[in-house]
Amino acid sequence: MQALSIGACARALAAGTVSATELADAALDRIAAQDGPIRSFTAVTPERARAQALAVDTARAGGEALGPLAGVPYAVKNLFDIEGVTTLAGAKLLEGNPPATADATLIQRLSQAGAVLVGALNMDAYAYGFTTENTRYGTTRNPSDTTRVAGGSSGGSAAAVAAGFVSFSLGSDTNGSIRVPSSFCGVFGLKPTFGRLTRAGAYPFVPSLDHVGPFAGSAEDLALVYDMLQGPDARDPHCTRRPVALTASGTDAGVRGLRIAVLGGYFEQWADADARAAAAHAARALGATDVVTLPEAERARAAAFVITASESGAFYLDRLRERAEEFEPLSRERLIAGAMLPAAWYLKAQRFRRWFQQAAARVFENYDLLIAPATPCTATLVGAETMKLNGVTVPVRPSIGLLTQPISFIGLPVATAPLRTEDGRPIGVQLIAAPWREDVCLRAARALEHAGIARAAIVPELTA
Amino acid sequence: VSPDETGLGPYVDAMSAVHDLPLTSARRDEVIVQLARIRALAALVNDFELDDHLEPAPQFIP
Repeated sequence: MQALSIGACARALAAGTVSATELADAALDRIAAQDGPIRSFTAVTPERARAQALAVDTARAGGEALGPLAGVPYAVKNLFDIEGVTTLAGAKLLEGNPPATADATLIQRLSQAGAVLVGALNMDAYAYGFTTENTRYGTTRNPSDTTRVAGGSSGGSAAAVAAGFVSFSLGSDTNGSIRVPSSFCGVFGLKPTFGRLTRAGAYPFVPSLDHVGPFAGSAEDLALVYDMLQGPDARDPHCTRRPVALTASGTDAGVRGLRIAVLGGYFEQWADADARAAAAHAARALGATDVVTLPEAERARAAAFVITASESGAFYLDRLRERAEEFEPLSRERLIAGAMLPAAWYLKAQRFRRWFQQAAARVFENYDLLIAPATPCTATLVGAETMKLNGVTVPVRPSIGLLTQPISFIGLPVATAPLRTEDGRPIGVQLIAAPWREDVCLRAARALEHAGIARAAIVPELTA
Repeated sequence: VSPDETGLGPYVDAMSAVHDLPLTSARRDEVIVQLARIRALAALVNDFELDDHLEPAPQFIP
């Protein structure tokens, strides 16, 4: 049985047609039977899952009110702390660390809402990549086409939802690591505003750019989960103290009254025909006719690249000195080079970040929502080193994030909605709003879903 | 571009010494290639004129 939607779980539990224990067992059975060729999980937590499910069943039998996510199976990218499990961040380097002594804050909040954690998910080592081709833990393959990558770095998070193993998952996004795998696997994803969700208990990569957020099979589920994750947290210095802004009850409001435009220029230049068609399709459905330019987007992507290299290289420098052989070969030299960058480059990039933030704010004076492709193309083949993009040969791994990096660079909230190409392959569009307006992103994603244009590519049955 | 053509070899050697991070020959070459890629992108940012009063984005909140 593939994972049910959150609403279906709630209805089935309320009707007594299924127990939380049965939901957990179904998820665990499906993972055991079908994750072999996908490799979305790096750890499964059956004892914990059954204990959490039993607690839900006991509460229900006792007539207690159940949490909004009661009995819903989910999993998290393996950079989130899970009590009793070593936090890997995709890296052999961290295997020797002791198990986490407490859950990450977001997992604690999901537990309070009744959700059932079934395991930890594969990712690019350190979150430094867009393909989840991990030398140590294997390549996470795309459930829609196992010859292709799931995207990254939260590849396991998107693949586990697309494979129907779990109803939702958590991932992180520094330069596109929620939006890229959402696009490639065909699921909904939300990268909230920078600082909206606490990162406490999530292993850092680039602290000034790291975001965390959910994946789900529908915009409705995405909003329900996101609402449970919100709230201040003194353990994350970047986490906002703004009031919680619940979204789920408003996602059906439609897009009437919203001023919507498509991002042109750079976002067309680095998108292939499939990606441009997806953005155009979404624009038509949402009634957007204007095309606007986000000035200096190419420089913004470059600045994000510099900041990423510098902060991540500095973070790992001591271990590069002492344990270089344990590093992921696909990332090691990039990290060393990053540690060598002049401070002047890094600081110029951070100053440019302020400039770009102000330029984007001017665009949002005239628009509430911007549409752009999430990825330059559909999922690439496993092992591919280069690809052609509008006639230009580019390296695959750094180029997949071309369209996401300028947006996360200034922390804008983005929902990724899954569309299909003419021949049925998943490809996502970014629905981008002004800071703190996740509600607008989610309304647009829901509107595309209602229009029959966005639909998750949940694979009913996987074959080895 | 080969590592030698980047002109970054002496810089990488100096930074390797500063960081006390010895590099094998093969690793040194790959670091140079990666650094050249970052330098090309950094040039886009470094060439952009900014107002002197524009402060870096991160904010320290005591």
